[in-house]
Amino acid sequence: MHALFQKSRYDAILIWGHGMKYFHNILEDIRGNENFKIVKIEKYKPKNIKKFVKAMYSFDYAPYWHLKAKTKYLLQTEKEVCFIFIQNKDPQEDYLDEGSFRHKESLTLKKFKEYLRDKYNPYENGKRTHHHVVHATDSEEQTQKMLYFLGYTQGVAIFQKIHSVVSLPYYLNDYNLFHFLQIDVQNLYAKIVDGESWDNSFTKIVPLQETPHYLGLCKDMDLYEEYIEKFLGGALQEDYSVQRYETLVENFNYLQEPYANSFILVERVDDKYIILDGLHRASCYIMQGKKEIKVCHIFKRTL
Amino acid sequence: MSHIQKNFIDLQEIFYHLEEEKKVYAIIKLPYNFPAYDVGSDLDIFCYDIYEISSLIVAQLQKKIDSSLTIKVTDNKQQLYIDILDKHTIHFRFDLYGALPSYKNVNIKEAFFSSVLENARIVQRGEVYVHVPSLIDEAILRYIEYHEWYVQRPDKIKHIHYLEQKIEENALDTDLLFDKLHYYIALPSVAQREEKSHNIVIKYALYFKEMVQKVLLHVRKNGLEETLHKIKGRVFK
Repeated sequence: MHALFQKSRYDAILIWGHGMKYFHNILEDIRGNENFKIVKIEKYKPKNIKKFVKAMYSFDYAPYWHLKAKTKYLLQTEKEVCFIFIQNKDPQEDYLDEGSFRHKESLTLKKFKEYLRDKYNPYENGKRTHHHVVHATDSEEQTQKMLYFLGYTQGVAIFQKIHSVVSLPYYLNDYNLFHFLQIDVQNLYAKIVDGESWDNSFTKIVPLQETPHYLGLCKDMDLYEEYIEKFLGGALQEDYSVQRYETLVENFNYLQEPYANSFILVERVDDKYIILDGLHRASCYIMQGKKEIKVCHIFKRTL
Repeated sequence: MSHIQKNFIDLQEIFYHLEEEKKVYAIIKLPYNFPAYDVGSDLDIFCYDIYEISSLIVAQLQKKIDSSLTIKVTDNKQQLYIDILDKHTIHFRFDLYGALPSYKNVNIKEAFFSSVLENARIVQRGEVYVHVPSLIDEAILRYIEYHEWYVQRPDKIKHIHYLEQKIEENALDTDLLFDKLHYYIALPSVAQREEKSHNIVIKYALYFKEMVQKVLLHVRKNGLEETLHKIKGRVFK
């Protein structure tokens, strides 16, 4: 197909329970593939693995009875999986198989899925087994259904770019008032996650200087690494990694071209400006010794 | 006291960037003193993508933000304001339209909006080139604005004076102007909205209210003495 007619699409890579030990490695592999951009990471604990497997394969082009034998091994796997939603920038869609099994698939993702399976599937007698550590969507419709399954009633529409005067992440929609102002960095606060584990956590508001993001930069990056390792896929669903953070720090120049509009977004509670988006950038900025910062205070007004 | 000096905002630089990025827009009723401006004034801009244009404007303006100067953006979906605030006072406003404003007294076809943008001409002001509507579109827009607001804002007569001047100068092809005007606009049909109540108390209350309004109007037009004389004549005839 001519490049002009190709468009990116959203896909999902599901890591099954027995693949979760490779969770961070798989994320690194995805980050290393220029065709993919991670947009959401969500861990999930199925109550009933049999029902969950059936639900996931009910989105498949092949009937479940056909896949039943193939997926039997999954019933013995750990009850913790992870959905990694990606933007597939170059899907190279094609129609594969014949007859009632004919279906649309992204050749880019198919190739990558096989790469992951070659790397992480269990091996027996030097041969790769069919106990696949990952499942990947064939079409965007399947991604849509996975999002519905997780309770996102808008489906892939949640990832679509929000048209606004500033760059807004997908989870900050419906804002219509934007106040750009300069504030003292001492008034910056952030919501951070605390608790036992990714599935037993709560959020709390702390001064920016007490966040793992800031402490990671000025004291020890291990503090930040431990934080994301603990909560990634739980309350933290963006693509955070130490490597990405260090790259940001190296090249960081707040509100300079081509990011002259990439404001740190805040909401105001009493005298506190709480960061809604841009905690990493704010930490970098304050590390540079700045005392004041330009932010965008966003709020909703009923029209 | 304002700490922001007159012409603190460099409109020339902003529009230079819009020109450089090849953005489609048209400044409506370009002020005579542009790229200078009066404190408290605004600039109406039609454009296809209010978000793209507003992002570029804010990217330039944000350099000026300090402890006193802030920028407030109000997004009404098809219309977006960018207010440059000196403390709490509006120093300057960009008023961006992604579609025609909704008029009460004139029906305009939506397509007129894109016609304005497609037929925009480029003029040089200071050291910058800016897009403005064609003379005919500018005339139609001014006529519409006069028609929409002349009851509440008598100063809108300035738009009719503008049209008269352009016609006198032979700068406007009036045949073309009327052709386009009649093609794109229609005056809404005037339908009397009449609701009659069967309740005698409401009926008399409405009658009384109407009478009071008539008397007030008469006083405003002819003075108190004349009005009292007229009432006397009606009562004792």
